[in-house]
Amino acid sequence: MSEALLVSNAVLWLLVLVLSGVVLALVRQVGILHERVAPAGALTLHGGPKVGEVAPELVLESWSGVSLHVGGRAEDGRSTLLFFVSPSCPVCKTLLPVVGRVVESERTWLRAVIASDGPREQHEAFVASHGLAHGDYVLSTALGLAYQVAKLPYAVLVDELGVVRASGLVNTREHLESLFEAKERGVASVQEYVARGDGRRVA
Amino acid sequence: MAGVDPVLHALLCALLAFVLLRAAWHKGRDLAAFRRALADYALLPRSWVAGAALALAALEATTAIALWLPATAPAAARATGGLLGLYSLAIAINLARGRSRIDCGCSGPAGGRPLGAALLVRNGVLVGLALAAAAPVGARPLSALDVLTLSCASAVAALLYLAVDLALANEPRLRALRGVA
Repeated sequence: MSEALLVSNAVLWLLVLVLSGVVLALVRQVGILHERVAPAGALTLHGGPKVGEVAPELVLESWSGVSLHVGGRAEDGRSTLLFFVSPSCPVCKTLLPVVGRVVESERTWLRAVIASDGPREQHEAFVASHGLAHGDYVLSTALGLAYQVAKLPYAVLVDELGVVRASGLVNTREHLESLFEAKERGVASVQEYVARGDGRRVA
Repeated sequence: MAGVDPVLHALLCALLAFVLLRAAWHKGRDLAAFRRALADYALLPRSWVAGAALALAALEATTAIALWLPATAPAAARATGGLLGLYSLAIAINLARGRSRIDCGCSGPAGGRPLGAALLVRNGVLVGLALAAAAPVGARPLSALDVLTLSCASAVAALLYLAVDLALANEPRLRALRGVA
């Protein structure tokens, strides 16, 4: 009898062990599926100027004190990438160098304006560590409100005529490039391109 | 029989050591990412962050090893409880501040996981286990069956901890997919 219990105990342990391994494998697979299912293009959120509408025209002061035009017809004929960040957003920090590189390689037609808001002293360390002091870094609540930015990092692409061409939540380089792709193809977002007008919002 | 059964005690110690070693391993593998996460908690002066990140990773590793040694296990279990309590406090403070979108720094460099009540619950359970491991251990002769129980139960506990942790990491993604995040 006691031998039977021993065997039963050992067999049960073996099965429990295998079962927990299977559970772990399943949860991992769910994680991988989440990565695949996540929207591949920048996620467009509601609110703010829609694609095709004229972007609000604002004159702002950059970090270094230079006055900066956002919106309206661009004098140098370049489009503007508005990139909204915050010092407390980890994804923003990893994306800033990417934005810098992308804009550098596309500088013939594109300039970047990095935007945030809040008291200046909260941004001192952030600006210093990311070398933003001499670039177009602006602190403006008005700009964030004008585009109704609710989630970060958020990007808006305004073309040389001052028209919004694409906008959305960007978490990766692919999301960022999807905005350029959307402008090139003349669609509001990659989601719209994929869904082709069935009006379904991918969220 | 007074105190916690030795097999149960050893199981608790093994699980806590696994949890700590995994955390220390993640931190050690990408210390820069952990420094960023720690700085985002906005609880320490900037000049302390680098030192504190290294100290926390080292403390986790040493405590994990100390949990394996019978002489130091009770003290190490209390240290584990204290460490996890400290993390919970840091998370709770930032949740109260409304800074829930920062990376918790607890799931390795790959998964930027936001703070949430689920993390507090997880840490609460682990603190409870740590306190149980710190309780006095009873003595009884161990048999071969105890060895089987302990080895299998430790492996199952570690696997289930990984599964629960992954499930917690998936949860915000699921919410984002549903569009309520």
